[in-house]
Amino acid sequence: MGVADKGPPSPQPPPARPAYTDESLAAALRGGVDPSGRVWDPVMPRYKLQDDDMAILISYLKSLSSEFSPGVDAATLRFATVITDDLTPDRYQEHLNLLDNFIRRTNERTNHIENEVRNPRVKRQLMVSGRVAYRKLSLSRWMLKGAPETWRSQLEEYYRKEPVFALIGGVSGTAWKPVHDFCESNHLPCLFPQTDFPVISETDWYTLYPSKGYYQEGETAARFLNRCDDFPDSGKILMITRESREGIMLNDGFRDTWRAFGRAEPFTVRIAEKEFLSPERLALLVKTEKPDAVVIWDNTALPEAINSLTAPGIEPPNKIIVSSGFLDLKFMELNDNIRDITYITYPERLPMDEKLLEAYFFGAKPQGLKIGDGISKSAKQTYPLIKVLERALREMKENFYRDYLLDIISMGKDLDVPLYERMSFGPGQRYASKGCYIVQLGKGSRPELVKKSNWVIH
Amino acid sequence: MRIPFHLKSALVAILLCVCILPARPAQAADIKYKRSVERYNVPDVVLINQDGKKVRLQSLLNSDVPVIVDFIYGTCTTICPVLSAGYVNLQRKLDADSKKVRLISITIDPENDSPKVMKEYLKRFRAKPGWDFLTGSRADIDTVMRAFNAYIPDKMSHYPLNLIRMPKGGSWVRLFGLMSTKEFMNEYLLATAK
Repeated sequence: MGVADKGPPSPQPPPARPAYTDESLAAALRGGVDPSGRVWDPVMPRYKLQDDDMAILISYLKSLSSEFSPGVDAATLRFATVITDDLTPDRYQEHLNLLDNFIRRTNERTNHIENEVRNPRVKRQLMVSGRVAYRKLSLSRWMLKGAPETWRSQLEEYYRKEPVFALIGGVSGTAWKPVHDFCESNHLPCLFPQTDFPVISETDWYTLYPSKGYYQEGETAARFLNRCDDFPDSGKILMITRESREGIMLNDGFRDTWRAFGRAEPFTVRIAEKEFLSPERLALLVKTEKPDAVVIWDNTALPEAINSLTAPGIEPPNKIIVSSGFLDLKFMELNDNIRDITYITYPERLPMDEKLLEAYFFGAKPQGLKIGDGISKSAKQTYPLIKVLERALREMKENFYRDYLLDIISMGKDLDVPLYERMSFGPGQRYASKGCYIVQLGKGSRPELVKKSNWVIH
Repeated sequence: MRIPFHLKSALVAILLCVCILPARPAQAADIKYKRSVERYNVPDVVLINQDGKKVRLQSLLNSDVPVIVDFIYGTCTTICPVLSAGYVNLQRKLDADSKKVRLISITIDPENDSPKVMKEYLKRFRAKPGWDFLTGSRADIDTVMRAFNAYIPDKMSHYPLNLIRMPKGGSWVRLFGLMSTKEFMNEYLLATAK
């Protein structure tokens, strides 16, 4: 319990009660008295349910955990990781190595205890304490080839050959929706896939994403602008969106959030995928639309188009918003004289903050990682997955139910990780990092990133 | 429901006895929560309510109306629904008269609890006006929790706490533990007794 207050001493354990029958369970739920005659604590509500509702509830309760989920047998707990063929091996190899290491280390520990510890009581104790997994773990690679529309049948085929308990990690450079949908229909957990294109849903259940990806940057831009005191209530926005996966996801995150604030729709201009946003076109749009803010979800807007907005004869808007995720390091090419009005969405810890933490995260007990600059983004993305998985396996013990796995993870403590300020969990929460900074560039040729917002903006 | 004054005084008297007299073990077992009277310095922070409006916590709390504060979060399935049932029952008993009580829930999951999440939460509990749910930056929320000696470093180590601000004098009754509606109502009456 709490730090300041000590709760009352825990009472003696109640006498064992007879197993519930349908009747005694219904009576207990209605009246708060269990079959041994013990009265439930008053904070447990008494549910005045009709007979048919009670029958539905009891039949649901019976369906829970009546048998293990697929993917586990007497010896092995099976996992798979999905990799798509739009990527070169250097983009996923390290991720796979780290996952393999994790599986190997866990299995070695289990083997060691099984073979070396003779005393059955000690062995049992070690099992109960969660020092080992209750099954050998295995990890398969599910490589998906060709267009995303064809992935579903490939996934079904892999799954038919080898049902797994959950998908862990995985990397794709294009879509993730086919994998997401496959997991939903098979009730298959999918933990922390590395994708910038997660499916945004408030009701889907089985995929737990590190963040909302590009959508989150768009959402943050809208939240930021909504909170700017110098942005008028009826302020006009010009939004320029590249018709690519990235552009559309940024656009949707912004638009959905802006709408939810009850604000006027932005004036949106679409840039076809093969097109280039020329300085002349941007200047003309700004001249004719006279927007208070320009939101640019386009990776061809720099260096020329945006920088030319400070040319003589053009009245620049009060604010320009761009995405660091989409522009990558190109945002460093913003001219000095436009940096004051340009705001950048930045969905990770800032490099200088992260630098301070590398030794802390990877120094003490490196899991195949070295201290210093060599830690790749892929390793940083894999780190929280391994943390979450380690804990979940320990707590799940021998209860091999997928919903229980998700339940354990959703009740997990917040994670402090290198890449994100905070990853947090909670029942039904499916995007662990909720934050994104708004930053500006400082002056000079090697500018610093200057925070202009909190990690989370409401 | 209005409670006649003489009944109220009797109730207060009984409760005072229960709380002030050294409790015998049998009595201690009857009351499952811990009660103390404290003074807190409310920090000067600006939080955001379920309508997305900025609110200054000090102005909200330093009020002539009794104020109750608890710490919950929007997707919580453990003790928050129980705490919130306490709030909603109190609103029902007081006919949601906002002159009689101002209910404040402060999130301990500020990353996830946006105004939208908080608004839906209040709707789910059929909250009436006079019950506000507040979020803010992690730093401000931490400051508030610390000021009330209620720092919860992680929402998964959450504990049940209600704080009632007595309009007279501005002391706070700190109630640690889960209470029945009846106990909660009694504590409210005791704290607000003239």
